[in-house]
Amino acid sequence: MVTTVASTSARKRGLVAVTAAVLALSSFPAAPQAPGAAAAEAAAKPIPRNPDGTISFAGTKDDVGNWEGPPGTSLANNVFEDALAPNRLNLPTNLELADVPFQPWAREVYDQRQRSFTKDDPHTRCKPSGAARLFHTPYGFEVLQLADTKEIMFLPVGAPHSWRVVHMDGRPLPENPSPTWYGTSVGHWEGDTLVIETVGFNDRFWISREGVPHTAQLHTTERISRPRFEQLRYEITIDDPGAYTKPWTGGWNIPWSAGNEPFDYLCQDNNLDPARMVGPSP
Amino acid sequence: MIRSARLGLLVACGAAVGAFALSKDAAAQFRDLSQGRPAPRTADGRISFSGTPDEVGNWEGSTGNGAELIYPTPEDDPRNGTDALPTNLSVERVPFQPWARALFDHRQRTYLKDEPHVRCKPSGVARLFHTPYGLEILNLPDSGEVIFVSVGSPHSWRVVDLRATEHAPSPLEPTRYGHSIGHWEGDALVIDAVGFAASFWMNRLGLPHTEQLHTIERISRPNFDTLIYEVTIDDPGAYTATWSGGFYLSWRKGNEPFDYLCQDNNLDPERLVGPEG
Repeated sequence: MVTTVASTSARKRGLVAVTAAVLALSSFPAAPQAPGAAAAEAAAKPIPRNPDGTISFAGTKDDVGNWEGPPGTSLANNVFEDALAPNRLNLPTNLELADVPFQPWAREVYDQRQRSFTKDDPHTRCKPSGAARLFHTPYGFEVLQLADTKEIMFLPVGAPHSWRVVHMDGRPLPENPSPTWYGTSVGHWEGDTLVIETVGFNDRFWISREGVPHTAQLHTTERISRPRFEQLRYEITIDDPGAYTKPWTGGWNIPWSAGNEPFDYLCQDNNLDPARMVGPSP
Repeated sequence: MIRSARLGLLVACGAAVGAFALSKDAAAQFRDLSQGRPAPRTADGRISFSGTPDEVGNWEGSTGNGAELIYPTPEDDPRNGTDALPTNLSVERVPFQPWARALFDHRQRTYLKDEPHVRCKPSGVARLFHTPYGLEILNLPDSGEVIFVSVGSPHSWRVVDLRATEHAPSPLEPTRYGHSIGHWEGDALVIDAVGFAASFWMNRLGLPHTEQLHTIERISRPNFDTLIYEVTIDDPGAYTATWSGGFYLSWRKGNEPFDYLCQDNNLDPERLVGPEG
């Protein structure tokens, strides 16, 4: 089954070129290129800003909503055996799976998770969605920018109804942090891009939905921007010498879901899913 | 229609109860709230329930020390360094329906061993406010929301909608935090909530309720280091009259939210033992 992935990836790579051209029209344009696109851009809703001038990742008084984590997105392209094309929301810069600098053991773990249909995903056992996993969890997530306390909080609505904190007060990354699901995060702005550095992860979550593995040596750099009102661009650089031979980067675009509001979804409330998650035991 | 008529009546009752129960003078019997640093305010003049750029911290839900909605036993002396509000009722004066009193007593007899909170369920109202490890209160004027972030237990959060003036149409999907709408009355945040699931305990002592529960909570910050939490409980399924209770929470300078996660290798439930009751 591993060889199926490998042998089809070349064929899929051919498809990537074709679909990338098609998708350039249908998915989020990185920048207006055609006259029509320029007009659309002019009519586009302005991107909201906070009183301190930073980009706001929230709604406005007139426009409730949040970011709907798109299922099917992945950090590398063509990660699923049945994928005919990369997910249209994946970043165009994402690597092909074959080009991800896995250490051999990490690739084996990844393949095992794929072969067993990701049935062991900790997320479905009500564990928090660490790293990139948070950003493609269904039911939306909110980004709260708290000027008074110099924090940014992410509130994913699905799964265990949890939250993640990013310290924006200029503190350094901790020397010897206690390992946690979300790690310890510090952030700063580079222009209109929020850059978050995180260390202190435990190794018990999957970095993304498709089962990208890591160790407690993981150090992530996430870059989040809002090129349009309705578009969040999420990119993560994974630096984990325990699992990869060098740092690598992937990400996806996240659509604004107008009208979405946080609600009481609670994984651990009568969670029946794990028993229904089945797949081969490789 | 029936529901809203009942709610209308309740608001009137609640206001009458509130006028007594929530009076500042009464609260001052236990704590001198005139002292201390003034509470911080946001740019729009609103009381802030969070820290300031110069002072990180949050609200530590007191455990024990009277931080309950009622006095659990008649002999408890409420005047002895307690976090209870002076207006709290003793258990004998709580207007339980007989089955609710029997259930409360059962939970007490079994040493609270069946508490949903320790099974990683969200704390619900008012349990949220006396959960350890701190509580953050995020006031978000742009989105018209107040969000409570509870650090202990299942790492969860509760949203209060300040834009809505009435609850979503019935039937509401019952949840542990209910459907909460809020408004400001001077410097107090008033939260009206319905749509609760019956599956949580209202406080650490095991106060029962039904899905008919309707709460009116008042949260205020008389000085920098004190939060007053008060809740009026209207549940005709479990009580014969509305009643109120609450407690003080203390500002914990330096507290920051961290990754406490109940459902991460939770070993507590099997260690919680008690009589069969």
